[in-house]
Amino acid sequence: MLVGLDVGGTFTDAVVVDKGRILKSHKCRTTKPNLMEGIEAALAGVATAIEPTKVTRVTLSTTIVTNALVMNQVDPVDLYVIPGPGMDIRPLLPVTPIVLNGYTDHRGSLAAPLRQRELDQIPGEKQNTRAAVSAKFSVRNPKLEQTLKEELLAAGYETVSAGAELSGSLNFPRRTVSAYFNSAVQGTFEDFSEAVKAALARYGLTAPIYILKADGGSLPLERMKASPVETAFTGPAASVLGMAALRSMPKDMTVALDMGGTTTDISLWENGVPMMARGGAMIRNYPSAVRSFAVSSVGIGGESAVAFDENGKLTVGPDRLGPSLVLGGTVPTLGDALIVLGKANYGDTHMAWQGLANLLQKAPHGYVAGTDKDVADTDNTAIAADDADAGIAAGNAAEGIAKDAVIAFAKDIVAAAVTVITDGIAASVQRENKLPIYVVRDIVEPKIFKPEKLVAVGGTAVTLAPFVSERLALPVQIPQNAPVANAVGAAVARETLMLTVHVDTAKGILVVPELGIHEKQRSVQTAAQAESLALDYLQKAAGDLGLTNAPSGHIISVEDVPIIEGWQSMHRLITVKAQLEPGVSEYVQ
Amino acid sequence: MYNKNTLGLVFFPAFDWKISPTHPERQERLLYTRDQLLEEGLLEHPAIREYNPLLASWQDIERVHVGAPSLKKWVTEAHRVSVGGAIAAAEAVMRGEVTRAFSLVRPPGHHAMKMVHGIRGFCTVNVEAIMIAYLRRHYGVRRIAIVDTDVHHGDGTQDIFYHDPDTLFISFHQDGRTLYPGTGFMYEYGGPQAVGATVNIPLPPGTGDEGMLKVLQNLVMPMLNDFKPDIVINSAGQDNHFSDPLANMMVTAKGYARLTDILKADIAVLEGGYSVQEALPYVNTGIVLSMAGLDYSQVVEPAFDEDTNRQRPDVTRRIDDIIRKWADQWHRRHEMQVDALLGLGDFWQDRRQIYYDETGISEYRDEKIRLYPDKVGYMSIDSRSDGGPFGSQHVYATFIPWQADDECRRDAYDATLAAKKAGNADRYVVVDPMKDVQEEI
Repeated sequence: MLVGLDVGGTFTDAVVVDKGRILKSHKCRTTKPNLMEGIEAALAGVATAIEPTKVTRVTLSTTIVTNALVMNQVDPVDLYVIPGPGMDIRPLLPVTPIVLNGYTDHRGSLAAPLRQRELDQIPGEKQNTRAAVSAKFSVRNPKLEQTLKEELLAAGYETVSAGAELSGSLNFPRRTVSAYFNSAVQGTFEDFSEAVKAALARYGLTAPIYILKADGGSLPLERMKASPVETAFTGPAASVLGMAALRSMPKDMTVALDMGGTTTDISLWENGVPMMARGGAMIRNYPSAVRSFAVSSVGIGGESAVAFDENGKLTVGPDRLGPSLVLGGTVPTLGDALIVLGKANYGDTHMAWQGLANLLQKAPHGYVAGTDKDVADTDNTAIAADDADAGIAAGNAAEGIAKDAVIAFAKDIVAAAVTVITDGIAASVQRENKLPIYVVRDIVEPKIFKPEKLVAVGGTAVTLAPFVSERLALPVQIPQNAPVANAVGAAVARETLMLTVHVDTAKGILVVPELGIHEKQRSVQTAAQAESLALDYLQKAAGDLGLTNAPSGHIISVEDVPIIEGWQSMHRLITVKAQLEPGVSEYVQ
Repeated sequence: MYNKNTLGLVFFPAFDWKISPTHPERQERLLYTRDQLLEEGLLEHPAIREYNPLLASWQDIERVHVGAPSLKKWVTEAHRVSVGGAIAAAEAVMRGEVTRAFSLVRPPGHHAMKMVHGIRGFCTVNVEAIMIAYLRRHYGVRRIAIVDTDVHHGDGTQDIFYHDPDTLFISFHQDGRTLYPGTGFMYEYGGPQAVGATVNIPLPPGTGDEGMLKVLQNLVMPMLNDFKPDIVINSAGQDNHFSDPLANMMVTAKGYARLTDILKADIAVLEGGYSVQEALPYVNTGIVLSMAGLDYSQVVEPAFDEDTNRQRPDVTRRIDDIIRKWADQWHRRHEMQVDALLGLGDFWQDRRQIYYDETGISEYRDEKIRLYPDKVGYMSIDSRSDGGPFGSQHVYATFIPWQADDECRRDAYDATLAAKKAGNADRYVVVDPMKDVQEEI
């Protein structure tokens, strides 16, 4: 039995899953600022289905860290960087760092040590209780970072995050941003995890607690205290996993659209697996090394406001100025336009006709409804003639506006919204296809993402997605998802872990940056040996965390480049990445 | 915070291409540069926009080169991607998407000449020359200056543009008496219809930042100012570096960055540079920062030692001397041009031998230039070689200039037909770059 909790921006959902079936689910409002009230309410809603002794795992997807970051309610952090020669990193960072001398080169050789004089000054520099350290090429040799971390702890810092512990990939600015924000949210996360443990204990739940990460994997709560930044932006991850768990995703190259009230989230899928953001997630506009799904948002949703801008151009979104007119709002929305077109039927529908007719009446000179031919003629038979007449007649300002003109206007509104979405899809696809080209094969046989299908979920999917499908000439699936798909996604999320093994056979060095390993070794000489070593390390690290899928690791990338030392001796530089793959542990009906 | 997309960057390290396992042009060459660029985060810096290379078409390559026995026998897909990288960089600039572009690609090209009988100085096809032909064909660019900052004389580029008065080729390099390919002297200053369009500045071994930047500021920049090019291209070799294993200069990464900053080339294309660990990661970081308008003052090689890396006074004196001599020759270029054509009549002829070091092939050429009083004429090359893997070769190729009018074209075809009647070459070929034509006669 699995329990899933999803704390979203608006709703907190709980779900109990057993043997591939949803036993019970409950949806309630998210409570801010004290999220625990909502979590307890959601748990109370499903409590009758929970048999505490049978529950093997409780998994949470939470906005706690995201909110803390977005609201800037984070702890202050002293950031120490060891950049060595190269680009000035300071303009790319969220705070002014303390810069120390020392340098590790691209081969992991120590080119310049830390300076004792600078280390002696640390107590004077110390302003906060939390610190972060990041050194260039620490993924090739974590020694400088580790040494400095020890010095900082000795100088009295409570916690110190180190860049290479959070990411084994080359990118000093991203690792630095990750380390900084990791320390900044540690306090928030610790408070939250204590509250969660207490709440679950009140329901007799003593099963291991897992937290969902942005990459769609989960890890034990205790482990995440070391890397809480990875739990930011899990909303899209939960939604993406929910789609996977409910078997919504085809194997084709698929564009998934999560169409909500304010935004549409776009993700790209292949073989039923969502694609990862290259490099990592953005945290407050700073690129980090936090692995996440590649989800981008465009400002189009069912309640996107419709207006004319100062140039007289019709705009839809990105603003949401309250609910649609039919639900008592004050500004016409995309949803109102879809009602006029007979695609939806809720609320006081004649308000939609009236509102659109009014706005059309005030349209700038030169605007003629219906000149946008991007929306093909829709079937008008569903349009409620009575509503139309009543609505237009009721709007005094709109006297003399013909019903056909309002319909044409509504089509223009939908067309404008669809354009924003298709532009967003095009940008996502373009980003995906800007792959690094390192070998001739990459360009002679390029791997190009070409959308073959659309899958749309969310409140606006049924009404809006068919228009996107028509524009792109791609078939669309709109699965009848349970309203608690995100909580389901969290409940069945697999455990994930990733690590990097870098072998330099010339120097006889082995590096596993995520584990702080940098040691002499001569036995690994080939890529195959490095791969098997990486899987061993992964299994051991996963076993230490008590992960159930520890043996299921696999290799996700191998780079094996022959190198020459002194013109003659042949050696290799091998970099292998291994991971426990994110995904769902079981499908759910 | 930054100007968006100041620099377009094409990065193609060709990790699967080598000349031979221990050759300097091997898989490893840009590995550490890639690591440095990734680690610095430069490929995603807001001031930099990355572009994929393209696979250059045969048509692009055939605007410049004629192969023996054929281009397809020598040109690999890696070469086509390297050329395609330069074309992608040029496109980004011409479309106005970026201010400047750097094509950080291999294999290099500046030793590749018009005829391709094999590999010379690690080069098979001339990347910049093909890019320039593309720019003229697709964007109508007329006046182009190439500044070759590789330590070796760019003899291939010189060969291709030696008779083109609208392409200024400036190469400064370690003196040819001390380094491959053994050419690039002051007296190689352009053919009879392009006097002063080739500028060779041989520098003494031991030249450092000071000497190189002095040549740039006191000689190269004033020349560019006089020539008024529409586009400046940098053949950005990096082997003037103090750690380069194949040469003897003392330039630093910051020196290269400063050079890049002063030159402000529209498009830079990587050429040589074989200190793959100690120089290339830092030189490339310096060039990328400089072209993107970012601070490069912190780019210092770990191996740099100020005391052992000082330019000697006698080296400085020799550099001052060549600057003086070249400034004088540059001022006399117009009268030299008049003298060069005196008494030549309709044709200028030359006989040369070219060695392909990588494949041990010797090419023997009879070159002929058609001279017109008022326009640029075509060039014919009667080219023979032996010693190569494909046996003896004999190709007669006529290159129509990009400036050609109908008369020049007609004369070029007539001359090739006449040569075919009289001669015994295996192939007779006419190249007309602005018409996308390379055809057998």
